[in-house]
Amino acid sequence: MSTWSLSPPARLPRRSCPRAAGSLPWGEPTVREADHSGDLTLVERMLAGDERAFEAFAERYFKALYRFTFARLRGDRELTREIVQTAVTKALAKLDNYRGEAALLTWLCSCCRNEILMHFRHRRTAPPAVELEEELEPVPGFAPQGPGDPEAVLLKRESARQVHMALDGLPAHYAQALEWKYLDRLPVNDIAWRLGVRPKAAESLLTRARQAFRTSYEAVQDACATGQNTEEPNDARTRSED
Amino acid sequence: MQEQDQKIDGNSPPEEEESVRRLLEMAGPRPLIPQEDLDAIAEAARSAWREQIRSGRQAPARRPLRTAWMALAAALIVAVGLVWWWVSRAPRDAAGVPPPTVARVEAVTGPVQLKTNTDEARTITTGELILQGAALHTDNGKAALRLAGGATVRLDAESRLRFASATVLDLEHGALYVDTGAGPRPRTAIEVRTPIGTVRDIGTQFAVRVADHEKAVLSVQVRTGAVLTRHRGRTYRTQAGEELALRHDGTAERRQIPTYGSDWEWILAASPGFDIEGRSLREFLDWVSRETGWRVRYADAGLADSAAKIVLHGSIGDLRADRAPFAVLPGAGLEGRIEDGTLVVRRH
Repeated sequence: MSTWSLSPPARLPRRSCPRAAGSLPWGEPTVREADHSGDLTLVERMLAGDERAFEAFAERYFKALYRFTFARLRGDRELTREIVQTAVTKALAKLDNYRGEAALLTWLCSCCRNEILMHFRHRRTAPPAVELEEELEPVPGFAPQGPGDPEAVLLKRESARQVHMALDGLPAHYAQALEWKYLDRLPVNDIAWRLGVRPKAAESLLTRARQAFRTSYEAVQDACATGQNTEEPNDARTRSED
Repeated sequence: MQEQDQKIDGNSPPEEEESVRRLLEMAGPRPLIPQEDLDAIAEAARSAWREQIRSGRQAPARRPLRTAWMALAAALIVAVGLVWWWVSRAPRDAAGVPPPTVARVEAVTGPVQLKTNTDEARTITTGELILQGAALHTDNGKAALRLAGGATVRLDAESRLRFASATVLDLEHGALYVDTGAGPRPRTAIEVRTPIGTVRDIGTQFAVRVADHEKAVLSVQVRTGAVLTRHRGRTYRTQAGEELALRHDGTAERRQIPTYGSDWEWILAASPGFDIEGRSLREFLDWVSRETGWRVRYADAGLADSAAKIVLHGSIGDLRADRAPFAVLPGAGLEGRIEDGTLVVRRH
């Protein structure tokens, strides 16, 4: 049996990033200065004690951070909750250090990644191994190349996870509308009915949801890629064993 | 219909829409995240953040001084008002912070008791706010509530419901009906926890009943959309027009049910009603359809167009949704007839 070990934080080969190999669905982005002014504004409102800002922060990031961490802890739910709680609490304590130079999600994912590392260093234990045959479920539309290509399966799962994180980061009704449209294949009229709006309004909402998804997906890709090459310990690697 | 969809959903460049579609199809449905884990994380983070704000460790250094003084003055004014209001009205938890509001009572029929962490049980009234952690107990009464996220909830007689949060409801016994699509804004998924299993909506109308009689102990009926139910480590998906029955011994049964009729009768009795003044006929019939489960069919296309333009005036009083159309339609020169679960609207 081919067994793969995936040390936390998960590091996939660079080509795992859908942005590589020309696979970014809407084409390569033009070089531009990243704008994180929205994140910075949210942070400033939180620093000012704005309760609604905190709720927006929780709604926007906690699910994605949970999913991010859960995947890197081999599905250990208790540990995931503990790590995310600790990472978020520490991040909040250092919130005034956030300068908007990276997306807030990237910053928070780095906090989770560091907390995972701290956890395993503290315990002086080896990171958990991932048994692909046990852990990986089929991803719709991405059948593995064969039993000898577990890496491809892993990459597809990571891509799927990034899509899920991107949806987690959207306002709930945007994510819900996109899932109704593309997973449940509901007609726009039905989506409008469920949203309690007219079809024209649902159409506009779907357009905004797609745009928001695109932005969110790019941020997730950055967050997942950042640290893969720079923040991991020397012994964190993906390897194959017999 | 397909053609219409392509036409009205054509705001985005086709390639962008196609790429979003491919990504979502590739990824499939999002695995559920346990709501209690998210709640625990949010609670810990909220406490830490509030503590930091209280202790003033995080002064907003990047703010201009003048803005900071103005914000401080405004905050003081608001704080004085809030303190007065909280002191006079809200119960508090151990840390002195009132729990958040999670729901509002829209209608009450008969006696319904509210129990909070600090108060003795008392009878609730329409318009009352429900705080997190509170529990409702209906004897012979029924209640209709709107959750903070916009979803509506009906509680049948002989039921006990605790509000763990605005999205997590603990049904200890009795029956609960959830409509997640009727609010002015969509919301996050609603989770109903019962002693037998946990039910999570995927944008829908559904009823959950916990009963101890010898047959099913947990019944999940879905009127529209779908729900996921977790029971003994297994997840069941229930679609519109289905009932899932789970027993203590882990066995499960599924059967087809009508989405209207006697099974849903109690929900109509707990309805908060509908204010027709200034609303279009179509809005009114949409409400009727959502409440009763009937489909609405117009006898001709012209009538369907007119329904959006006919404006109603007056009141339907306490008329239930299954009776109101027969009082309202004649006033507009129309008549309605029920044909196999469909309300057919035609001209006189």
